[in-house]
Order: sequence, then C-alpha cells, then structure tokens
Amino acid sequence: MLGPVFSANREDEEQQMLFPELPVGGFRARCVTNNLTKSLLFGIALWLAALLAFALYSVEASKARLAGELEVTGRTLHRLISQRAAQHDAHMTSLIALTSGAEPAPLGAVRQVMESITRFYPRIAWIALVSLDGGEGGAGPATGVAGAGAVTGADAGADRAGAADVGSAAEAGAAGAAAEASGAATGAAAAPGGVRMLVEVPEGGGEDLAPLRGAIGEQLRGKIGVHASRNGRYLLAKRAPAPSDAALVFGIDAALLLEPEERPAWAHLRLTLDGQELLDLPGASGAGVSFVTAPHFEKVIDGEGQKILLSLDRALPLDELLPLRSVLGFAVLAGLASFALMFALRQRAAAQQSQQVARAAEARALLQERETLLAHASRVNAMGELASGIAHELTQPLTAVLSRSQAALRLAGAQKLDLGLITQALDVNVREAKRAGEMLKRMRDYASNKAPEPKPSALNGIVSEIVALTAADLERRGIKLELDLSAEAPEAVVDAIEMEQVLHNLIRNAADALEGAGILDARISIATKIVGAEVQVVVADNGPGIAADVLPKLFVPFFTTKADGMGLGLSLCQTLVERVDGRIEAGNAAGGGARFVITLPRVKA
Amino acid sequence: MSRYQVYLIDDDEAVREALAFLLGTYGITVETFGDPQTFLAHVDEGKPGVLVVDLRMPEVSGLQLYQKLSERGIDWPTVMITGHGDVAACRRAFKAGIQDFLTKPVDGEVLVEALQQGFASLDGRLEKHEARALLARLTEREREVLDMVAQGWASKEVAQALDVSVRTIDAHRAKIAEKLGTSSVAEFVRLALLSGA
Repeated sequence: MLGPVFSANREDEEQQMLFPELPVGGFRARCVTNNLTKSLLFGIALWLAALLAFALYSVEASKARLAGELEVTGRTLHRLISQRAAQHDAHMTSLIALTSGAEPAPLGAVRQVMESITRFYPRIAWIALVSLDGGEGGAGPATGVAGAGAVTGADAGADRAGAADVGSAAEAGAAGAAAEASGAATGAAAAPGGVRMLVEVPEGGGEDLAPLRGAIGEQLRGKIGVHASRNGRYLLAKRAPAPSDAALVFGIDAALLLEPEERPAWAHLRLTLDGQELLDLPGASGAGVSFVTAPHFEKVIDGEGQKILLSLDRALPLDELLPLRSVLGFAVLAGLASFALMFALRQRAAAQQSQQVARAAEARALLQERETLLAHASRVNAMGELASGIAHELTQPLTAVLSRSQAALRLAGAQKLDLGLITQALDVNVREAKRAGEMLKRMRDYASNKAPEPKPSALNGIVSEIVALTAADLERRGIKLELDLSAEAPEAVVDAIEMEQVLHNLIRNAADALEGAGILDARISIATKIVGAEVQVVVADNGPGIAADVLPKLFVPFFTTKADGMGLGLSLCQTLVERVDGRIEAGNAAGGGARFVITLPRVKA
Repeated sequence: MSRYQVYLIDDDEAVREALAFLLGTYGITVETFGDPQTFLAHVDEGKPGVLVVDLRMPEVSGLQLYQKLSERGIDWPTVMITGHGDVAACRRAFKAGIQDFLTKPVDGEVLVEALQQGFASLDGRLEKHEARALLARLTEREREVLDMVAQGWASKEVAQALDVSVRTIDAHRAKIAEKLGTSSVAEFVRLALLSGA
C-alpha cells in the first residue's frame, strides 16, 4: 500500500540547529555519573594518601622519640658512670693520702680501707698498692718498695734525678737493679718487671703490672692513668705524691659500672677504652629496619682519664616505628573521614545532578516555549493566506443577514404588517450572525497565543475545524477536499489548535504541490481511523508525490523545496506531534501522491 | 408583479433563502438552486428569466455556468454575485457578456435595480427573438428583398438591381407581408434592425 516511509528521529543536534544556544541535557547527566565514580576513587586515594602520610609521620616521630630516649638514657648512663668514676678518684685520693701520711705506711689500715671499699663497691674488683722502685735510698727496705727492673729502674732514677743528665740517671738505674737483686734475696714479694706489691685486695686477684710499669711511672703524680686490662676490666693507676714511689692501682670491672637494672634492655651498650672493648651488651631489641638511620649516642666518660667511651645504639624495629595499634586506629579514623568526605562529595554531586536535571527541565521548558512561539507565529502567518477564503466565509452569513434585514424593514414598512414573516426574517438573522461569530471565533482561536493545553480531543472535530478554515481557500484554488472520518470518533490527548495547525500545514503543502503540478481533478483526502491502541489522521493528495531524495530530509529544519519557504513547516509539525507522544510519517501512496500519517496514542472515549 | 422569474444559483443555503425572501418582498418570484448542475438539468428555454449566480461555487463556477448556458443558446441576463470584489473576475464576467457584477453582501435595492434592468433587457431580447423567428420564415430571396425595402428602395429600383420584373418583386413583397403579418415598411425596418442587432 505505502511507498517507502521515512520517519525522522529528531536528535538533540537538530534541536541545537533550531536553538543553538540551548544546552543539551543528556551529556551533562553522563558527566554527573562520572563524578559519582570519581568521588569513590577520590575517597580511596585520599585514604591511602592519608595512611602513607601517617606512616611517614609515624616513622619520623617514632624515630625522633626513640632517639630522644636513647639520648636521655645515654646522658643518664654517662652521668652515672661519670659519678662512679669520680668516686674512684675520691677513693684513690683518700687511699694515697692514707699511705703517704705516715712513715712507714700503715699497711694494715690501708688494707682495711681497701677491703671495705671492695666490699661496698663490687666494681672495684681489685686494689693494689705497689712500690714502683725499691732502689731509692731514702725509702729504705722498711718502705717495702724495691726490685724494679732495669728499665723501670732507669725511669725511677730519672724521676729522682730531676734535671740531672741522662748518664747519671742510667747509673742510678743500674744501682736500682742491684738493689732489686738484693731485695729478692731478702725474700720479699717482688712483682716482675720492677713493681713490688705492697698491699692488694683481694689477694692474688690482680694483674701483672710489670708491662705497665713504664706507663704508670710516666704518669704525673696526682693524675689518674687509665690502662687496659683483660676480661672486661681496666686499671686505674695513681702515683703517690713525691717523694714516695708508691702507686695505687684499681682494677675496675666495667660490667659492674652499671647496676643490672640501670642497663637499658633495648639498646646496644658498649664501653671501650682506646678502641678496645670493655663491655658489650647487645640488648634485647629486635632487628632494625634498614631504611632508617638508627640513633647513636656516644660520649667520653668524665674522669677516668677521659679515655672511656660510652656508646649506645638503638635498633629501630618496624613495630616500634609503626605501632600496629596506632596504625590500625588511624586507618579506621582516616577511613571514616574519607568516607565522610566521599559521602559529602557524593551529596554535592547528587545536588549538582538534580540542579542539572532542573536546568535541563528549564531548558526544555524554554525550548517548548520557543516552539510554541514559533507555532503561533506560523499560524498567524498562515492566517494571512487564509484571509481571503475566510472573508468569503464571512461574507455568506453577512449577505444573508443584510438581505433578511432589508426584507424585514420592507415588511415592517408595509401597510399590512406580517409579524410572522418579520419574525422569521429575524430568526434567520440571529442564526446567521451566530454563524459569522463562530467563524470569527475559529479564526481567533487559531491565531490565538494561548499556551498549548493537551487534553482528550475528538480528532473528527479537529479535522472539521481546520476544514472550515481552509475549505474556501481550497475551493478557490479548485481543489476538492474529501473527508473520511471514522464513525468510532477517535480521541487523543492533544492541543486542538496545535493539531489543527499540523493538519493545516499538511493540507497547505498538498495544495501547493497540486497547484504547482497543475493537476486536473486535484484532490486532498483526510481520513481519521483507529488502529489498535492508536489513532491516525491520514492526509493524502493525488499530486506528484515526494521525490526519493527529498524524503529523508523532509522533517529537517530549514529544509525546503519551495522557493519562498522557510523549511520549518514539517519540522514544526513533527515537534508538535512528538510533544503529545505521537509520530508523523511521510511517504507516497501506491496510487501516486504524497501521504502523511499522524499516529497518536488512543484515548478511549 | 414581474413577468419574469429569477433563477438564483448559490451553494450557500442561507444566502439563497435570504435573497429569495428579500426578493419575495418585492413581488419577484425566485427559483433557487444549490449548484449549477441541478439548474442545467432543470432549465427550460421556454421560461426565460434573470439569473443571479454566485461566481464561486465548487465544481462549476458561475462563469462556467454562463458559458454552458450560452452554448445552449440561453442568453438570459445574468447578475453575478461574489464574495470577492476581484477586478480580474469582474472583467472576465463583463467580457463574457454578463449583465451586472455585484459583491456580497448584496444591497437589496441595488440587486432589485439590476434585476429590473435584466427584465427590461429580457423584454428587448424577446422582441429580437420574435423578429428573428419571423425573418427566419423568409426565403433567401425574400430576405434580400426585405433588406433592400427596409433601406428605402422602391420596388422598381429593387427589380432593376436584382434584374427581375417589378411584378416579381411585388409578389415577393406580398409573400413577405403575409409571413411577417405586416405590410408596413416602418415595421419591416424595425424587424430588420432587431434581427440584426
């Protein structure tokens, strides 16, 4: 039955062609959906960043805190050890004083003091009073200092000689060696290498002082010398004031410099003497991480000849740098904060979305308003074309009214008043005046600027109205109008005036095509029918039909085949029909001629 | 009152009724038709009248009706009425020979005046028809003789011109007088003029 049918799907772009400044709603909505996804990703990223920042901060803070602890502990230990070193000094000084105060030295009392010192101070493992050189004349055997070796004897000789020349000192040393030989003969305890033990506590717990004889001998009197020893022990030596050749030696157990409870379990503590290890307590802290420089503390102990170095090292295990509980706590808090932020962002996005929806609705309303304006302008324009036909339509009742009125006047002026005839004349006048009024109302409605108001309307009535407006014009142009209105009275929800306009456009196009082609027996047919759940209005003509290349562009705005056309007629028809959920299709009838079908959802009367 | 009736052809019923009603008050008999075809089927040459025709009607226009009637030899006076004071249509109508051209709404007096002119014209047309009908009864020779006599020629002159005897001419004149029902030369002249008009 039908030729190729083309139905244009109007896209946003086409609306844009009509009203380019209007925004397109769909695009924005897609952006908002992206925003929602973005806010989720953003929340997660923020959370991870916060965790990383917290970890870095936590590591730095922990490191600083642990280093601070180490520093404090280091200073404390340094102070303790330094105090104890000062005690050593004090003990030595008092013992020296005791030995040199009387002649001969009260060795018994010295021993007692020594014993009490070692008892009270376990770190002072050994105390010895020695004589460095027994060869000195003034001292005599009673002082008990004798038996120095050849070399130490030479040293002592040099001491005694003061500013004497080296040669005489060597001689004096030789003499000392002789004296030692004699001392050995007397059976007194003689340390090897020229150091004679006077008193020692505990007995035999000491050191071989012979290798140190020279070093001790070189010490300034009254100054403490520090000397290395074995087994975590070091020696303190102090010489008695001149002219005594006695020296006091303390053996200090480095490990006991600190009480067990004073040692930090978490640090690696070391005491060294001239690089030689005295004490090495590794501590109980686990393996440290490699990526952070571990804190280190070192300080030379005051006193003790400023030779003992205290050093503390602290390993930084991961669980101390990043305490699990605080990390977890922060993770939870940051997670909550991120979630809250994300939620807020989502809320904002949703608000934006609804705002955009509102804006799109506003744009749609604006578009609709403009379409309504365009529709109205187009109707007013068409009204001009119809004016001559409508004038003709108005002339008819006016002619009847004038004639009847003149007849009535004549009857009224007659000698024999025929009221029956006059009444008849006036009755018809009223009817005809009303008819003219209806025509004027139809015109006014059609040209009116009122907002479209779709409501259930009878399509047959709409067809009849537009036929009444256009019939005279078609008649003048010699075009016959054929109506085939469904007896079932189809109804649809439309604005009657706008639907009249759609039909008028189709009728006008058909009439122009018929006229342009010079068709004899030109006919336009309008039919209404019900097709299932839809109703249709079909406008067909017996003109030349629509060319195949024109068909696809028929509903495109500003496309026209008329020399003086705007190309908005059919595009506007489509807009108006789609506005009430209908569609309009164009094609060619099998018998030739164009055929337009408007399909609308049916409303059951 | 009127010797003739009016044939009113208009597609608008209200207009038909109103005009018929108005003309009725003037004592003019009006026969109305809704479209030209009905009128053409109904028209009786023996009952002449004045036509009042709407120029614009579907299918057949007022002018086309006039032309169709002319083809059938009916040349009754015609008043064209139209809703459009369209100059071109008006000129076409006058060219075609219509009596008058009035625009709607038609003033009753103007219409009646136009009709009365039509009636008068119809009277004249009837005489002409009668003259033609009378003259049609003459032979060609008799018509020749009549024309000459009407031009004031004496029988002798006619006989000379036609190269026949005067007696023959007299016999023709007697035949003519018999056929036209008059021997008056003045009457001959009138009839000849009417038929020639």
